[in-house]
Amino acid sequence: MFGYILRRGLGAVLILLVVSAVTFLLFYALPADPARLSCGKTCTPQSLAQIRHSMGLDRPLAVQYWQFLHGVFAGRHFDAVWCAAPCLGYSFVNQQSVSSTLADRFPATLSLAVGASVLILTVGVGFGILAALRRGRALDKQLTAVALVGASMQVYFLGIVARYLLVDQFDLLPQPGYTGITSDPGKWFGGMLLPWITLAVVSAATYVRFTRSAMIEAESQEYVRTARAQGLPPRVVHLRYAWRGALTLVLTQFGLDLGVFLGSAVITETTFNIHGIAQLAVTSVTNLDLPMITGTVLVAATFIVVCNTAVDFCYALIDPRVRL
Amino acid sequence: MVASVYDSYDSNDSSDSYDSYDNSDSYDGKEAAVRPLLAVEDLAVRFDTEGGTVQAVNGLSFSLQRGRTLAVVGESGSGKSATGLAILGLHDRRRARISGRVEFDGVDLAGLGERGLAAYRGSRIAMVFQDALTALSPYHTIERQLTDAYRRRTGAGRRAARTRAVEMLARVGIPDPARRVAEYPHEFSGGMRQRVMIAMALMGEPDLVIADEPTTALDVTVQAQILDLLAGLQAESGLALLLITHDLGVVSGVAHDVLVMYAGRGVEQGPAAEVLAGPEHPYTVGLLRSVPTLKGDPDADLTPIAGSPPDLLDPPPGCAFHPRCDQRQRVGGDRCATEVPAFVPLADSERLRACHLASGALEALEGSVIR
Amino acid sequence: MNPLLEVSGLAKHFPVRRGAVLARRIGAVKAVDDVGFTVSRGESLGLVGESGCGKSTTGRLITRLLEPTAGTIRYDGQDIAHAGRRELMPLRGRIQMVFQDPYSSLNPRHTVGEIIAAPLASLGIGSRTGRRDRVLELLETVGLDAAHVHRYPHEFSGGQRQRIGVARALATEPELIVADEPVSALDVSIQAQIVNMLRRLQRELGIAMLFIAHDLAVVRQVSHRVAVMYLGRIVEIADRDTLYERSQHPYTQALLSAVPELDAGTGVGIGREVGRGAGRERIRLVGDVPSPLNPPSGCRFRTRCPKAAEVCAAQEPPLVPIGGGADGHLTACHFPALLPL
Repeated sequence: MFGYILRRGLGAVLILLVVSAVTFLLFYALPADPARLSCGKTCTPQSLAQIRHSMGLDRPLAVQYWQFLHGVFAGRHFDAVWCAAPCLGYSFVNQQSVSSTLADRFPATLSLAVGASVLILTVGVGFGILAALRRGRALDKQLTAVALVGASMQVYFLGIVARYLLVDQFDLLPQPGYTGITSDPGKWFGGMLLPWITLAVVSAATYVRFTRSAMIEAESQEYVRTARAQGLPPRVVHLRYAWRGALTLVLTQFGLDLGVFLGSAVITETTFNIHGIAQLAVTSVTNLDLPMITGTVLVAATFIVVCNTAVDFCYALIDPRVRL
Repeated sequence: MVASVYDSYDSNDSSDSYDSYDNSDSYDGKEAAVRPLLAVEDLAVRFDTEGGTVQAVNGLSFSLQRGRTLAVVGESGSGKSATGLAILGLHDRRRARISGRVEFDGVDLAGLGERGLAAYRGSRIAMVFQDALTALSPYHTIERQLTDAYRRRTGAGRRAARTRAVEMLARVGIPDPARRVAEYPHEFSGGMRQRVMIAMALMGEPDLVIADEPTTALDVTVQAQILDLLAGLQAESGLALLLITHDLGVVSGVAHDVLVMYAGRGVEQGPAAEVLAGPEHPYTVGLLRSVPTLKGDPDADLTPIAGSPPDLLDPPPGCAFHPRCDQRQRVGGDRCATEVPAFVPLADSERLRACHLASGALEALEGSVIR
Repeated sequence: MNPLLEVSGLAKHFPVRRGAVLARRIGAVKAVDDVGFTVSRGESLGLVGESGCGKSTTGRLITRLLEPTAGTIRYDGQDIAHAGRRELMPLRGRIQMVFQDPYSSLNPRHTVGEIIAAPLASLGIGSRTGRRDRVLELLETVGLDAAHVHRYPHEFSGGQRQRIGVARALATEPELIVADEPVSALDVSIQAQIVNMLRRLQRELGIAMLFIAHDLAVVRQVSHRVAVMYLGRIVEIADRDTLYERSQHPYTQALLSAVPELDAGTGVGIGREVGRGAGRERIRLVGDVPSPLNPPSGCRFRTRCPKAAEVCAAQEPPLVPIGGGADGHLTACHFPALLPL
């Protein structure tokens, strides 16, 4: 177990190194000049050179990358500003260190992700199981139809329509937006409610269908028949025996979907004007803010690595045949 | 561990206990002794598939007494496994349509719903499936799987149920049961896993055990152990055993009676010794002849049945066996191809048969039936 | 005359690793360990044993679907144990394989004609029309209707599919066929058809055959000589009649005795004069086959052997001739003996 964690940790570090290097390379290949953007309209060649120097753009790429890595582990200076480790760089556009910006934005994204995931899994899986157990009957058909409609929706469309109807017109839900959970839990919850529901309707639909088919597959396993042959009541047969088999499939899907969720987070944060990491990523790309882009990419990569590790741990918990 | 003996197969033990069970009339009076424990009448199992309706079982009738072993024999597609599942209503109700009567101890199980059947499943009637690796849940410990239904049924506490599970594991010959009860199925060898399946069946002290190909997935030396175990358990407790198998060798070893099935119907039935020694149906004859044995002439060809098993979506008219039957010419006219032969008793015997051929017409062949 | 196939010291060890990223080797399954035998031209050798004894792995090593860990495989004088793809090419047509599962060993998207012609096409044998004629001829040889050449595997029953598999193996006129459990997935009435066909083809075409199976009665029907394997080793090898009637190894004896036999006429059933037991000494082995990951020391069979003594744990018995050994009867046992009658 300890060996496993160690190996997983080393693997994660390796992945993050590769991801950051690739981001550097891609950015370097871009024709646009970030220093030019920071320089503004009244840009003289001298000030441009000055900015280039402080941004580190006048040094070779390898040196830039090395300085970046050095900053991550030991911190570094940007002119007069000291950026403490783990320093992911300094954003000249925002005049702020990348780490502190990320730290500011992270809670909003985390709230969105965790809340939506909980909703997606409970609603999607719950209705999926229900549909599987009632398959072929009216309830199954209704749920499948609703799921189909949901899955064909897009966050920006559904979000805007829902916001107009539920918030602006009928005042059923509070205005969406992010408030710190520590400053006002009630407002935090209220503000996140519409984004959560929107994300859940769109993504849970996939889980209804997926869980339904995973459950139907599990129901056809021989050990489920054995459980029936023992005289166990249907509830126990379905939820204790069949569901255990379906769970691994659902979990695998969830692990694969994490990347997709990140993509939809960009749209969700933009739609509901939540100042999270995904929105930050979009603005930094528009501003050619390399340090910030690298920072958001690394956060996203870390998120995926951590989640995948968690999924693997869950496998080992669910299936005794899996050894870590 | 060097624990093994040249163990001559001791039939006397089981003989004694079986007889004493039979004579003691431990179940009430004459009427019960006459009334079979299980009586299946006109059972039919149909599956609706995309290609049409599959008649898996078609008008099957048989009965089974306490303390007896009835082997249901047939090749793939004969409907033998579908019959076993139908008794406990274990088919997927969305796909399978079951009709007929399954009378168990005076109650028609075919008329019961899931809830009604649950009272019989695992308690009075238990099942042993072919492949214990897939038939046991990989996600739950042996303890959980053995005690879940038992605790629910008896209200026993966790500790008491565990004790009983350990007892049952010991009874089926699993070494160190107190430790192994906490393990998962994949930690057991094939033979030991099948013993776990049997222990599971014994948890509820069943009157009837339906064993569906219980030894097919096992090696021959382990198969012998499992058959001995089943026979021993029957001798101990007088349970009735419905043994579903494709292996006539297994039938010859452990069954009192045998029912041969072909394309969903019974074609021949009777005491195993009599049927195997003097089969009255051309299919039984063909089956017996095709089996290679350790005693036959190894330089002579085997005698297979010509052709292939029938397509159940489109079974042949008349007797389903007629396209493969080498005795067909001996029946007058075109009866075999047009008329389904009735499954009727042969004169002066306990045996039944479904064939247009005159009884005894196969006698001339008998000497050469088993190679 | 030199044997067609001469195998000696053959071994295949599968490493067992644990861990996903930095896997380390924690042991090896010795699936086949120091196995040796010969097959002459036109001879049929049966290889029997229970699951996990290494019989299928042996078959795959000889057809070089696997590369052996050690040992030599001399085919017609040439050692092919470590031959590369190029060296194996000319041999591919001379050694063919028939597989167990007629459902998964045929490509469902190819017609029967394409399946049977495939080995010819891949070796570049014959013209297109020549191959077509050969396919039709082969269909007839294995008892299928030549008119079905354009059908797909799913349109055939299990027995017919196995005939297709045999036709494919025969296409290149091989000298040796390795048949791995070719009839164990079939119903008995069909199994007899295929056994008869294999026997007939083997004899008529003079093909040497390595017939791998767990069913002793089937093996007896098709083999001139029989080798019995246990946990990766051959424990006894002899000509057919000697092995089935005068076996000297307790494992062979136990295997033979465990086969449930049709023995009508003596009466059957529990608690009667049991048919299968009557008149025959029965040997019951206790327990299951031990894990090949960690086989017992000395004689591998000792943990289940009724004759096991101290020497069995200490020393592995060599596979040696019994009493002079002129008949090629070899046994690996410290206490070989005929069963007392």
